[in-house]
Formats: sequence, C-alpha cells, structure tokens
Amino acid sequence: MAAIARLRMPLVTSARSFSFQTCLDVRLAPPLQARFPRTFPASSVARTFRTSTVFQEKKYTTEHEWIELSEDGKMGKIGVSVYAAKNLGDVVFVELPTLDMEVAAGDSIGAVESVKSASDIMTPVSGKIVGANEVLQEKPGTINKGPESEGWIAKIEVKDPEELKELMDEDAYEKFVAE
Amino acid sequence: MNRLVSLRHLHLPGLTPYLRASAIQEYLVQVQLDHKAAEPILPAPSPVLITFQTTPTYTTGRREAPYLTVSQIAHLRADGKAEYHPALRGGQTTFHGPGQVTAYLVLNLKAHSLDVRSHVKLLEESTIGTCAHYGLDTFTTSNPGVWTGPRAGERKLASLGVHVRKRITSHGLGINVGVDLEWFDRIVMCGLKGMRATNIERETEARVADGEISIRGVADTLAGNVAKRLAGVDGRVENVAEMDVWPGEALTEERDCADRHCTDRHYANRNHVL
Repeated sequence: MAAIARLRMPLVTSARSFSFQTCLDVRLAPPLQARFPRTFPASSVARTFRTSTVFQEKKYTTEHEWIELSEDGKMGKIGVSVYAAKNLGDVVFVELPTLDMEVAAGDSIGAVESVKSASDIMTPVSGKIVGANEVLQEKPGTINKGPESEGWIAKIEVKDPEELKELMDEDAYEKFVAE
Repeated sequence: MNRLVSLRHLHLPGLTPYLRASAIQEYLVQVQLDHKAAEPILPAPSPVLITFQTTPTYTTGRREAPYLTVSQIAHLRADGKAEYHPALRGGQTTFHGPGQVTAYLVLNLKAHSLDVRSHVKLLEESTIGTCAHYGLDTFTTSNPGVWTGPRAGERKLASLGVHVRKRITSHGLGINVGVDLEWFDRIVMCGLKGMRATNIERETEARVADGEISIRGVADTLAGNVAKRLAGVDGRVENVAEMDVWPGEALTEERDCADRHCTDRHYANRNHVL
C-alpha cells in the first residue's frame, strides 16, 4: 500500500482535483464506480474518499477570489474566479504578493492589470503568504487560460480555517454571480 | 423604489498639488469601502467625479513603478520642475499638469451595473463625447487612451488609467486642453514609442486665452457626459464643493508631504497601509 502511495506521488495535483470531484459526487450521491469506471482504480477512489473527510471544497468571496485548502487544511491556494477573469479581459500584468507577508482577511495582496485598469486581489482569509505563482510574471495571460487552476496567484499559510466557513461554496457563488 | 442619485462633481479650481487630489480621492474611496463593509441600511454614497489641474506631475502605473531606476525617477522630476508619484492605477507613465483636466471617478461598479471593462468604456465614451462638444473627432484604438487625427498618424488627446479595489473605482483620465506638449516629449507615453500627444487647443481654433474654451468648461462637459452614460443615476450633475464631500483637516499631513516633496517611498508605504 505504501509503495502504491509513493508511486502516485507525481499525480498529487490530479489526485487532489479528483478528490474535489469526489466530494461533489458524494454530495450529489451518484455511484462513484459508475462515474469513474476506468480512469481511477478502486483503491484510488477509496483513498481520496477517506481523505475527503478533512478535505475542504473550494470557497469563493464576494470579490470573486477563490481559495482551496490543502488536504491537511493548513495551506491555501488563492486565485481569481473564472467569472472575474472574463470580466477583466486580457491580463497584461500581475503584481504578485510579497512572501512572508502577514495578512488579514480582506487585505489587498496584489493586483491583476488588464489594459487600462488595475484590480486589487484580496486574500479571502488571514495568514502568512508563503508562495506566489512566478509563472504569472512571465505569462500574465495564464490567468485568462486557467484562473482557477494554473493561473493561481498565491499560497497562504492559513491562520484560522474557521474563516473559510464565512465564504461561499461553489453553488452559493454561482447564485451570487447570477444575481 | 430607490430614489435615483445624481453624479456629484467636485471641481477643484486653480492648481491642486497631486497629493492633495490623491488624498481627497482616497477619502472618497474609503467612504465607499466603509459603506460596503458595514452593509448599512443607509443609502449608498453617490458616485463622485473629481476634476482638477495639478502642478506638473509624472505618474507611473502599477506595472512600471517597482522597476523604475533612480535615474529614471530623476529624469521625471525634471530638475525639480515636476513631481513624480507612483499610482495604483493601470496603464503606464503619463503626465498631469496645468492645462490638463485630470478626472477621478469614484464609484461602486455594482451600483451602476458596471464591470471593469464597461467602466473603462464609459470613461472612453465620455471623453469622446466631451471632445465632440468642441467639434473634435476622436476615437479609441488598440492602444489605450483617446486619439484624434488621421488613422496611422493619430495623436493622443487623453490618457486613461483605472484602479479597482473591492469593485470601488478610482483614478480615471486626463484630457489635454492646453497643456504644454513638451512635457510628453520627455517620456515614452504609455509605453508607446513614437506616439505623439496633442491637446484640444492645437486641434481646434478654440483658445483658452480667448476664453473660448476653459478648464472648467471641459470639466463640466465631461461631468455631463459621464452622468448621462451612468446607469443608476438620474443623468444630472450635482456640483459640490470640497467641504461637502470630505473633511479637509485630515489633509495637513499630505499637504506638508506635498510641500516637502517627500520621498516616494513614504507615499508608496502610505498607499500600501490603506
């Protein structure tokens, strides 16, 4: 079992996004095996199913940022939503946050600039900035390609996971955007 | 049903130091942010357009400010004849000064059914409408700003740059009315090499000196153009004075700051604290 886990190490990202889907599937309750018959072996499903008890789904703010916690709930990845990226238009510059900066929920940690406007990025939760997506410095357009995936902006060491409860889940955010 | 508000227009007469106008703008942004944070039952603050002429000032947008060298900053200061300030807006290096109507539009995008892009479009169209009032044919191109003259040889009449924080907008545009164009020759305007700046005086027969065109007139025309394009307002302009929209006492520090030509680092820090 341990050997299998090691073998799967390079798949960490896809396994995580898969676990997110699994969470949704569990909530909507379709049979998992029917949903993913071949792509993922049963053991993988079982594993992610088990971790989903601590896994927290992606949350959104009213300012169109998203945050997704790591499986241990200590680290969060921050970015702007697909909706926000569409509204911004072509991103020409990203002001990345300063590492080791202590921030409170709602603080400005950087900015996304499209042709004539710079929009601040706010952190959804309090904590310490521990990572910035350097890719965006060279290729700011990555935000337009995958705002909720490879276009992430910052990594934060989350101070209080309880703060995430204040935020919207995907369904609530969709409703909010449609308003 | 909510009663529609008017666009409030604060015109600052004469020459206003850049940091003073900035401080007024920051205060109005904070009023909007405080209102949002409190989710109050009170009606939302009205949108405000600030128009003014500043003393000669070069500003950079968010993209360039961190990478400016000491010698570049020294060049922008033009032996003390101009100030240099980094701004949180989008866009690149530009000039503000006497003879230019600099306009900041502070509003909540959501209250006016706007997003970042349609807000920029509103500013562009309002500028084009303002220029049309003076018989000038202007247009936008793939480059930022508002232009006039023959295509492919177009000249830049107005610059645009906006900042958005929590959907509250600030900064806006600068329309060159009679501004000395030499100020623009000293910079690569908005990152566009070989592009020329122009002003309304040069493009029309109207002369500021003859009273055919005035800074106040252009500012009022702009306000009218913004008001009629803005959703959620009654299309009218309510002219307000400084004391109607902000408590001036809080300014003393900024005033001193402007007088002493305090370091940009100080200004940048102050901005980041906000």
